[in-house]
Amino acid sequence: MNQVVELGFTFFRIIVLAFVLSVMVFSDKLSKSPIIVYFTFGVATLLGNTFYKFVHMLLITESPFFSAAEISSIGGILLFGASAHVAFRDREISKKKTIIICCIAYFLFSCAIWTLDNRTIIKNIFSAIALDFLACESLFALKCSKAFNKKEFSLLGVAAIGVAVVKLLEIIMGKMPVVEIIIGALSCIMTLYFLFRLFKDRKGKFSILFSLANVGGCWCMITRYFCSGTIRMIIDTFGIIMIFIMSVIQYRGKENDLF
Amino acid sequence: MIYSENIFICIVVPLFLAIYFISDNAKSFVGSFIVGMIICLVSAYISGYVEYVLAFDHEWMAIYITPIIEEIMKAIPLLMFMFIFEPDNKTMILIAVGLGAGFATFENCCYLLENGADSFWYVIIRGVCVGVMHIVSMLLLCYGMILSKKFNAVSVPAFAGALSFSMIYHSLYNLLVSIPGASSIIGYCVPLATAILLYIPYHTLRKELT
Repeated sequence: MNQVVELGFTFFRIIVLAFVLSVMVFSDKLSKSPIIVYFTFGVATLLGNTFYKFVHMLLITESPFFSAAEISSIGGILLFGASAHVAFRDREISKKKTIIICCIAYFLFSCAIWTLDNRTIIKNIFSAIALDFLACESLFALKCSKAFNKKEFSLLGVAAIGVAVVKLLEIIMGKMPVVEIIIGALSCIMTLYFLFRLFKDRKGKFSILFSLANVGGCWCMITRYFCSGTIRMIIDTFGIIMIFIMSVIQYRGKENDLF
Repeated sequence: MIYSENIFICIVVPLFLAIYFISDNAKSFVGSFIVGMIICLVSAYISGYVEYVLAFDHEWMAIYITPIIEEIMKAIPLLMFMFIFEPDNKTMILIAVGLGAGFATFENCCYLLENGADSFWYVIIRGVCVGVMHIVSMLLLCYGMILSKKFNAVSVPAFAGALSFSMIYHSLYNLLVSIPGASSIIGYCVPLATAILLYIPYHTLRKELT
């Protein structure tokens, strides 16, 4: 019964988000952008996936190792990732709309990751790729904004690569709580240093928020063994959205003219 | 056991000869129809191999793996045609329908020869449901590609999205009809209902083209 409620809830939030986005998209120049295609396909794919899982649950109790549902989840991941990427790079779209699109896209992106079967290795690989993708986008944005000097930027890059390596090792060797906690703690210390420096130099509230989000992400890495799946999903999604908002603002420059 | 290669040759030879005596659009349709039949045969080989490797039973294969293999195989010629010949939308739809119809026809022929055609309801179900389902799944993929072309979004994610949607549609049909009772009745109605629904965008698209 819980699964039925969970699937129903997923279905509902996809519909609501799709509605919000379609209202926004159709009332703008965006109606001619590839984002609309990516979003339409993505929403259709996720709805199909949810409906398939629902029917499967009603008819067959035993769940398969791999099915078309997994493929459609991967399709959804690619589509939402692509739509956020296009929105991020398209300078014709206003900053506010970019942020809204990216938030919804990454929320649905994490929904698509969570629709993958728990037993499939693809879930881990895609989560890792998703995090790396976000890390790269954020680093790129930071590089453009010139908020950090070369040395600090290299340290940030090393941190992002470190997290990616840990993720890959986890996929190959299984869970390693001790290593993850150490890496997480180191990332936390490093991010706190950047936070301190940003406060000192008064680079702007959004840079501070970015760092806070980064601390949140590192904290999430440490606490993942103590939190339930749903709480982790909420924290992950929040972290992803925060990082992306900060990235967009940094990338576009002029931090304080948004709100 | 049936000799599907022999059946294939028997059906394809007259169609192949017919290509030389017909005009452009008809030629494209018959050509794609033949390609659809070849794809059906190759998909059966691949499915058989995967079934052997994964040691799945036949029903599990039909529900979980076969739709994935069949949809990927059907998408390959459409994609190749799209990138090599850069056709207009009208020709794309024609090719997609031809591929789907060829695939469905050959599959139906093999199933009927294997299980017999004495039951009228079985023949109707195979013709109206499975046959239509293959055409609809191809049309879904084709509309997806046309839409992505229209919005300058021809890319891997767009193709993956359209393909996964047609896969989930095919899998859903196979899943519904695999359990007897109300679910199979719903499953049998799905292809016709979607075909009727798809007629609306087709009609709009045709108006736009002319």
